[in-house]
Amino acid sequence: MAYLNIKNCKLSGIAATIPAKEEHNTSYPFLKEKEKQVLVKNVGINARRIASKETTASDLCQLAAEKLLEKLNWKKEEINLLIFVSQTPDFITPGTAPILQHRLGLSQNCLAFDINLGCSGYVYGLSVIAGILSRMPDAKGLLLVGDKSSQLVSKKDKSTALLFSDAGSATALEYDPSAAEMHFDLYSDGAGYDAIMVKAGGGRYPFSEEALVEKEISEGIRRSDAQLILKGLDIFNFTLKKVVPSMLTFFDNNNIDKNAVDYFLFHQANKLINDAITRKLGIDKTKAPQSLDLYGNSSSASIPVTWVAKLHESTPAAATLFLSGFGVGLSWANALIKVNNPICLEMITYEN
Amino acid sequence: MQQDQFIKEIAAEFEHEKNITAETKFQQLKSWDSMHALIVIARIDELCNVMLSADDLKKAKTIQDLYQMVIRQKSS
Repeated sequence: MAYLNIKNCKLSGIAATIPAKEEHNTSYPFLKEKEKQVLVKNVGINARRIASKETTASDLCQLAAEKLLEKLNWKKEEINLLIFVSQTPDFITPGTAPILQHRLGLSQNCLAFDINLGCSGYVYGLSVIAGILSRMPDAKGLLLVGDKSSQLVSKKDKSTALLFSDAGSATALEYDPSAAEMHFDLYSDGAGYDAIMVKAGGGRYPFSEEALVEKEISEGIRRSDAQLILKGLDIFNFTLKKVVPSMLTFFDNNNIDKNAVDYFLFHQANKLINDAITRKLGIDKTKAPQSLDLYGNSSSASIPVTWVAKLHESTPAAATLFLSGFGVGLSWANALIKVNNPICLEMITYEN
Repeated sequence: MQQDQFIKEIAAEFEHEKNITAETKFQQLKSWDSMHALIVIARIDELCNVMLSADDLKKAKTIQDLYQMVIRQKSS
């Protein structure tokens, strides 16, 4: 068990950005009408947001960060820490966080690095930035989390093309000795590394002409080795056998009464998975909002996207939130945070 | 849950297929794919609180086989 209790760190604000272009699953050209109906009903996704060819995950995060800093009235030279969490960075190397430090006009006196995680990335990133900030008196930090999964997905693969949506986010945190303690529990199981993966293009299977050849995997699933694989059934099993029990352990160990949690913000995998989690935990559906319908599965950004989309207007000033991210890695993480009236911007749209 | 009810509930998940019975070899249905596998596993978990794996599903031929598997797992 990797347990972390972090004091002195306050979550001051959150913002999320989605691309303007919307794709509807009912318009998907490679499935029959009936198949589409079954899929939309069970996966719970009607529309997804797709970034343009020129736009990267970091562009979406940058816009969220700029708007959030403006609203918080934070000066750029005050930011000492920037963490970028993504599986779709601007380049293989260098990392994207130093580029964002420069593009945002932050001072060179700023610690910046990337974390390569997906579905669990928001909660992991929050634990890392809070852990560092708690030892940096008077410091301020930005956690930028986002993915442009559309660049990884084969349009002819019904197991991924109808799920993933692009989004970026920014969360502002600062050193504050009066802040409520944050609780985290983090896990990994690399035995399941091939359940969600892009096989070719890294060190293990370098780019080659062959990696770009589109192959028929099964009916309705055509992709190359340079595109995303998703084993939906394995992920469903993993979620119910590993992730849900980890949540129950987390509640037990922290003496948390589930009824005292105002909102449960889960990674948005798909409706079948998210409904199953809610059912297993025995919590009220209205306390576990889903944003799948219009914003799909936005990988690392799905928790902030749900927060902004669903709680922008309804979060009480002081709220207890349970967060859980789970998936690619395999990697999963739970957190309990108490927020005190953080700024939550309306959903930002990235034109282009 | 009784077998009849189980068959009825699972058959409902194949809404575009006709005449689903206990003996239906579901993996040979035209609409069967990985998405349907996920739907069936999720539904069984919801109805019976039993999680079948992808391998379990491959071993089962008919919906009745699925029911037997659920009963076995419940009693083990």
